[in-house]
Amino acid sequence: MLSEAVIAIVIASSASCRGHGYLCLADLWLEVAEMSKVPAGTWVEIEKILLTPEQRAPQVPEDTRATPYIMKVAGFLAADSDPGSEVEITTLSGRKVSGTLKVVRPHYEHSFGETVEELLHIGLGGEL
Amino acid sequence: MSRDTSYQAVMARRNEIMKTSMGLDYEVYRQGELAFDYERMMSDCGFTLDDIIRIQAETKVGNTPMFELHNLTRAVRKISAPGKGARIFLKDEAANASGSFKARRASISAYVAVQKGYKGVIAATSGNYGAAVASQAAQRGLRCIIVQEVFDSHGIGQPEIVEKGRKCEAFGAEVIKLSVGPELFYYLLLTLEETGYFNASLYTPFGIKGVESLGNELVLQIRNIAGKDPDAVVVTHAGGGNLTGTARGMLAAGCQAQVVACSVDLSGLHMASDRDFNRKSFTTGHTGFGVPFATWPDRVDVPRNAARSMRYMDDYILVNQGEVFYITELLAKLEGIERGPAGNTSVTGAVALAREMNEDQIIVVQETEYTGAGKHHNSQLAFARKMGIEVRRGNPEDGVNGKSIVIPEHLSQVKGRRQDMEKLRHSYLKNAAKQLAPDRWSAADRSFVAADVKKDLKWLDSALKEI
Repeated sequence: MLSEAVIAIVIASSASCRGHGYLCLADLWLEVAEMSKVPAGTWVEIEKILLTPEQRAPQVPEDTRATPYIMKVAGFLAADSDPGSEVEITTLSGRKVSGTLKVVRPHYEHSFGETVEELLHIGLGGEL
Repeated sequence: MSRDTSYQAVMARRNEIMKTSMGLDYEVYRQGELAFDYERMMSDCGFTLDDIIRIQAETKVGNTPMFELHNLTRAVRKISAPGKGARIFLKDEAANASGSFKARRASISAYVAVQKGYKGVIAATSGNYGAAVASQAAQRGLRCIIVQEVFDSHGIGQPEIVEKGRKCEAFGAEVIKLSVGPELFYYLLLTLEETGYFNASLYTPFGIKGVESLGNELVLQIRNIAGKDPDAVVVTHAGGGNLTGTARGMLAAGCQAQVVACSVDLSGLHMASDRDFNRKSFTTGHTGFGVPFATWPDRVDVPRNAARSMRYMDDYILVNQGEVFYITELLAKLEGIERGPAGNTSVTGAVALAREMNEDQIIVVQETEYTGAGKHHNSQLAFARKMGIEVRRGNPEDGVNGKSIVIPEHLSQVKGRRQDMEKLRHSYLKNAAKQLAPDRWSAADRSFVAADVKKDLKWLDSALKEI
């Protein structure tokens, strides 16, 4: 049985996947299906609220001010942990950072995008 | 010891943190409320042009190719008045380690960090500079942290920014990914304080010195190829370092060519807006940076900015998003090279400028950058469409930033438009007046301000009456 916390984190991760081009949802489902805890040493991404809306810089425009200031950083998990729990990681520079465990084995999948046909006709001879 | 990490407390410690993280005391250059000894600050670095070239050669930077764009020049001549259509050259800075001219800026910072005994370097950047610092740090045996604005409040990141973050990680850097907002500087300060690393700011004298080799190199190459100096050098302009360093290097080579800035016009979009963040298709080289940094350079992460673009800028061309996407595609199809958006912005400016100049004149576009997944005009346009932006062919002037991108139907529609230089200088004066009322400026302040906008005291007196 998946705990509510795990389900919540899978949904949250799916939203953040779009941003990073991470294909994390399937990974995470596999992950949680196979084990209840993410093992120490796994490459993960954590998230942390650095400033709440009230704490943000005075010059921030209104739409931005309505949102918290958030940090995401990846690193190696310090101890066996549940997805969605507060964890510590060691980053690539060797820093120890704590935050909420959001994505297991984050990776990139940004691409060249869907074909934009408007570009295809450019430079086929008309310019010369 | 735990220190206060609130926004206000950290910002209040900024000068102390900056001094520790750079080993550089800006106070010694102070000459007045506004004035500081810019040239002494630059020469105190202790690096001659030959030193810079030698340091850069150690880490795969510099000596990049210069190509003449024969086919593009021919295409421009077809749409120009008889006798018009200058020769367009392109300096292929994508050939530097990390794929852009930013390697020149990072190379000197990384070298200095090692010399001064720092264990690592940190840079706050949205782009190529992060990859450049990461690549140089890797070669110098330094740890590296890049602080990057990546995603909006829905967790969505621009494909180009995502790619730039990936490239930093590829060189072994830790990438701290942040949501939209100017508090990036706050978190940079906190991280500098925590790690004791060197602040590889884009705006230190080292960062600008590193670009002087580019200006010098391009003049020598054109002299070698064409037997004369270039007439105009077009520089994609954002924070001002590219333009400042290039112009200084050109002057060092004795070249008096016009220095022409070029930015993508993103007027109407707010740079710190969560909503607008993913509704712009350019992450740098745009007016959102270019205008504010030109008209007040000291709005940066160091006490005094070594990038002072108005000191060197002769002209400023604005292009729109649709025009640059068209030229990017045309560059691939006519010249057989795929390059990224930053350099292609000034290629677009060069096309507009070449139409006004004579056939025997020479324009140099002084940079290119790498391209690839995410960092590509097709990815940007596909992403824009997903964000609800209309993409179509037509007159590029009909495009509305944040709502539509109109890609030209023909090269003749790539015209660019002039930024009013006098208006920019007046904005600079207004910003200076906010710091201190002009009637309280000392003689040193007055001379500094005039030099900072490439004008004399006579102009200053008359301009101050107008603002």
